[in-house]
Amino acid sequence: MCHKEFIPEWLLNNERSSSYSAPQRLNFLRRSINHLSKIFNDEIYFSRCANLKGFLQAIDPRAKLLITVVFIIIINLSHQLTIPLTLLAITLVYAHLSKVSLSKLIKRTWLIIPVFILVCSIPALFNTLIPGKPLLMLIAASPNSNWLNHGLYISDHGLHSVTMMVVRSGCSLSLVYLLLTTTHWNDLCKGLTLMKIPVSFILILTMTYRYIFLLANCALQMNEARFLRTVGRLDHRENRRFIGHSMALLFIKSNYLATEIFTAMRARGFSHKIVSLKSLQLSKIDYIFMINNGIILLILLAWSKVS
Amino acid sequence: MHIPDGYLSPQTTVPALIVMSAIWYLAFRKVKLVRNQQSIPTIALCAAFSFVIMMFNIPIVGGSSAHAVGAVLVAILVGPWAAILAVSTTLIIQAFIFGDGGVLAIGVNCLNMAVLMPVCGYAIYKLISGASALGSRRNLLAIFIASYVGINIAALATAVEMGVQPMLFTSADGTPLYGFYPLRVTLPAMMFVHLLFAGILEGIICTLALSYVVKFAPHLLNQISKTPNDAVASSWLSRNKTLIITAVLAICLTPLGLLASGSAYGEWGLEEVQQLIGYIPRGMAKTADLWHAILPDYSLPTLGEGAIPQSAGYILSAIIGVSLITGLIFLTNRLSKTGK
Amino acid sequence: MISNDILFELEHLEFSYPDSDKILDNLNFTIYQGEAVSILGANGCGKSTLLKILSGLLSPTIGSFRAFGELVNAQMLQQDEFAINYHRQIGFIFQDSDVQLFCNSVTEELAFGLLQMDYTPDQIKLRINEIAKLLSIEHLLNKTPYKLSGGEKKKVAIAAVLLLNPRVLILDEPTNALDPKTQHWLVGLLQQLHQAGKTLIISTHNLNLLSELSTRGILFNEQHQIVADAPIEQLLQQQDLLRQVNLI
Repeated sequence: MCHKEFIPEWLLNNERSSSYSAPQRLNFLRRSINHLSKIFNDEIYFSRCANLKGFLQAIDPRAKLLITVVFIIIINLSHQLTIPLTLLAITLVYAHLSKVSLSKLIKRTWLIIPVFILVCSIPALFNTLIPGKPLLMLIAASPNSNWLNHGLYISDHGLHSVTMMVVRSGCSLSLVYLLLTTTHWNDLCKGLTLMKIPVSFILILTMTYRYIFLLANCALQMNEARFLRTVGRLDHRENRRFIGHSMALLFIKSNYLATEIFTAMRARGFSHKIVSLKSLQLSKIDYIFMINNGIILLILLAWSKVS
Repeated sequence: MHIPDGYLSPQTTVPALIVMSAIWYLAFRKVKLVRNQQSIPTIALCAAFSFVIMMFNIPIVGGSSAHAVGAVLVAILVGPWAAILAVSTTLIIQAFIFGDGGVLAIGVNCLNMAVLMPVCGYAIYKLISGASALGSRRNLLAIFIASYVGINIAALATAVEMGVQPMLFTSADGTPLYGFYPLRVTLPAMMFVHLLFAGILEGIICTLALSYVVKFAPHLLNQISKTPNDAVASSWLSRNKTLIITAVLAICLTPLGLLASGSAYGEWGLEEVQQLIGYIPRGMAKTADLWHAILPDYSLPTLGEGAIPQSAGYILSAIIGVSLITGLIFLTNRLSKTGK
Repeated sequence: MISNDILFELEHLEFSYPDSDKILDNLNFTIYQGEAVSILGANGCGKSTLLKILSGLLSPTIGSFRAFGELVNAQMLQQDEFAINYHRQIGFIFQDSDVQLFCNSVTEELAFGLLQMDYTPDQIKLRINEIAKLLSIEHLLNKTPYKLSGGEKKKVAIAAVLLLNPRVLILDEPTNALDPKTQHWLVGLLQQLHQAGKTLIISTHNLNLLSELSTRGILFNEQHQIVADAPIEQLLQQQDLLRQVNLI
């Protein structure tokens, strides 16, 4: 029990805190907090999209997974723009029919990684790395100089290689994004069981997904608590120590959870089987979906042969 | 270090996926053997753990920050086999849900970050720490060096995989089809950052995290291969022969698989297949004939030679193609609405 | 003890995460210096989000939020200097104490905040001892926070926050997972702090300790709106209303 006379004098005053010294950089905490809360926002958005009554939502997850993977393989095998761009157009049409916001799709898939690749690839545009016909001359050729005797220009082959890489990565990302916005992760995993993939592996995938939110919430709060307790200056050593210790505490916590969860699972009669209420069976429409996409691919391949 | 789709040729990513499947199978047997049923929630939690620690930003100089990979940390915490499974699961979920790393590239990314990094890191940890007590100076140094070397090996593998692309996959006129930076660019670019900054950061963070666990919850450490005092380097090597052999095989197989295929997959003619496997599979010969029947080469037969008829053929085929595809999509959509 | 100093002022405040529904809908209220306010509502009504806004972790999507006489918005919160000054005036006690404690020993944990400010080592030691006495945790000072019991962890978390002498204490479900004895102790401590002039903002769905903890209650319904803002005794008598928002 505590008594009133114990309350220290300083706690009774509202101290106007002392001088504000050089600021501590808080960016790393802000960034961690943003990354971690993004997990939750994504989950909310994905499951909301997957619950809509759209075109792809009605298709069996296995059919979707198969078509997605085949499309991605074709995109990655192609060396001309026509196939990836047509498949991208189909992806966008599917997204529209499935009521997935196109602007969000493009923002999430095209404005991050493809842009990063593009920036990293700028040097490859020039003839120094990939020779070819000049498209845009920057430094005229001068046979006398020792280096750059061909001049410096953006070559057609360079432009083609860079464009292909950016387009391939963006198209692949869009397809995966579309798959995830129209399919619940658990349904996708359930679909995998029926594809003869070992049950324990799928159980791990499903459970990991669930635990990520548990641990991410914990990590988020750790970062928030630490953020709120930053009231002055700290050196980076202290900050790194916080990160190391948070990871350790998170591990200890997850170990504790693992035993708890296993006991709970056994108490409910867990065996190595995935039981689900929704039965998954390929219906006529799933076959039609797969066959039609197969035909689309054939048309595309034929087309690229013709042109 | 997550390689996106589009950078590597499928001739690299598909063999890597096959090698990974073998490693996953081995790891499964190994983990199940030692841990039985309880392994599933434990591995899942380890995977979630390794996912979440990749989201912690670590301040570097000024206002910038980076994130740790933590695969060596996971390996030391739960053992190398469990780490392979946990980090792989993390990478798979990242590829599908968060678009970090490609889907086809899962195999390659897993080889780098879920096999090479934790296994090499763990081996180095065991070699250096030897029989030293947990939390002793030698033990902590071992953790630091293991994490440092581990992430650098993963970075090296990534740089090599990206750097060999322009050597192996080029079109007839020498233009690279996939990654275009040669080894002399990728190696310094990756290794500079990792040797000087990322590796040290990784080492510091892992040492801090492990020293905390070692100090306050040592019983949680590596429940998989609990071998108290006889954990000397030589016996560890002999006990984990299969693991080391697989790792070495994985390292050798990827470039070998690359070298084996001279031309791009999609452009394989039957002659190349014959050269490669020695004979033409019968089914393949049949489909090739069929293919020729449906698609006579190059230009539509009804239109003659010359520039104008050819471009007209091109436009016509484009119109037919687009309308066919659009028709199919809307048909499927309509059916999906009525069929349910 | 309630003065006329306005601490927080919310006008037509709305909050929603990107891509999701409103989590807070049209909030209007003012909190004065020295008040003890309970924020009531069923799970998922937006209490935690409101606390995050009050503590400067989030900024409103629509509407205005003024704290300590200044308008708080996203740009302000991005400035380190503003954020740090803001943190100094606010003490946030998390529901799960584990997330708040990460140091090797309780002493280090308590010194963490003070070390960032310009206190001398002697001052720091003195303050830690005083606060340890107040919360009777002297015997824990050399232990590891993570090994303590739930009640002890809560005490250490509160001590770490009190040492920074914030003007406002924000507590998220403070009595959750505490044994009755510790709950009782906590109520006593909070009453004392309130009498000493601290502003308390407490989120809870535990109605039993409410009248001892606070003088004013703000009640949320499950549609994320405020349905009542009244003295706590008055609120507790409105059984119909409490039933309507699924609190009882």
